Amino acid sequence: MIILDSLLIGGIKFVLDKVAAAVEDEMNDETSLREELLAAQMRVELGEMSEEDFVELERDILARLREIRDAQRGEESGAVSFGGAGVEVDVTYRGDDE
Amino acid sequence: MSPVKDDVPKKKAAKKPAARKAAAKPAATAARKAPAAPVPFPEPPARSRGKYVYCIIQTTDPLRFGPIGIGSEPAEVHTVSYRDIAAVVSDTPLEVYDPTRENVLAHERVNEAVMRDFTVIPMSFSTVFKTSEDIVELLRSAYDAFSDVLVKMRDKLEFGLKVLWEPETVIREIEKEDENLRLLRQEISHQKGSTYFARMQYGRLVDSLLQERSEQLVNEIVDTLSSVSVASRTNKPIGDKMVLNAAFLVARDREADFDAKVKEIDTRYENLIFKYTGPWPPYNFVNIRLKLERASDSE
Repeated sequence: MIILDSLLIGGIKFVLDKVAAAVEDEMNDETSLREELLAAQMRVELGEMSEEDFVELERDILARLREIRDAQRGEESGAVSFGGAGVEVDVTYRGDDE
Repeated sequence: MSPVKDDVPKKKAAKKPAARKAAAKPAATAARKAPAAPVPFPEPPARSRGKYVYCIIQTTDPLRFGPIGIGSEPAEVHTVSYRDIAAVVSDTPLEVYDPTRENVLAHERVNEAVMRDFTVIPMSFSTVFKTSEDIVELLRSAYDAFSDVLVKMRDKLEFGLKVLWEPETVIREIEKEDENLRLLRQEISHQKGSTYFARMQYGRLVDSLLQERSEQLVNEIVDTLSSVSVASRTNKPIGDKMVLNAAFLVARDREADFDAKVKEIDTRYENLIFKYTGPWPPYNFVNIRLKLERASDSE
């Protein structure tokens, strides 16, 4: 159960040059929903929330995340395609916190 | 532009049991007419396929990891290569996966299987590319950087450590030690009339003492573990009981030492709750940023 937060932190981040700002705003909403989901998972783990309550909350949060995503991507599936566009990839090792 | 078309379904896929599912839907008539011949059409556009990417590894051989992919009908996990690096992927419908526990576990199950034999650069959950060509382009564009990070991550594992406390218990402990706080509390319980001001003062003092103690604990714990780890990162704590939400990068041959240190800390602080997980792929120690520059306003 504790794995979700790791998965959401790591890996790939997309920046589309023209829509970056708008995407970032949406990302903030998405981030807070994800934090809410993580907090709920933590409460289940600590025995402060029942599995049933969690499932209900999870369903609600996932639905809201889907709404944000749909609004963001319109008809697009969210899949990455370079289709003729230039691409710039940054891969960096991140060591200790500053 | 027809990126989806590039990814013509392979015959290999048609031999798999999953082909039954594909044939049962729109292609049913065609399949009945010519059962022995390979199905001539590409898959219907409504079921267009993408590639779900789990991680990047170094390998010169094409690999298969078995039918353990994400989705309700687990697809074959295989590699898409460029020179000596490869993405570990499985075919998927072009859709965004919800971060349900089932899906997240599926993602992690694949990375765990790959990690047994390879150093991985993990992708975040629900990273889907339209075609193999797009993935090759990703690997090609950042070939040097991927190679470099793969070397840095070689024989290193990530461990997660979350530390929680019960604020009520800690406050009681602090009261035992801090005279000001104790006096303030007595004042509140004996005072007649309004205690508003005293309670405000008490609340503020409690907050700052909790903050101070939490910082001190975090420093002690991270310091202790830094002697047996390569690097550490702290993330935002989740909920109001968490004081530390950290990830540590540990050399494989120091794993036992790291383990012993965590156990030592766990016994040293009996009132804290430790959630210790791993080994993980180094999610917290690799940053991949992808910037697409649209060629024109073609969409």
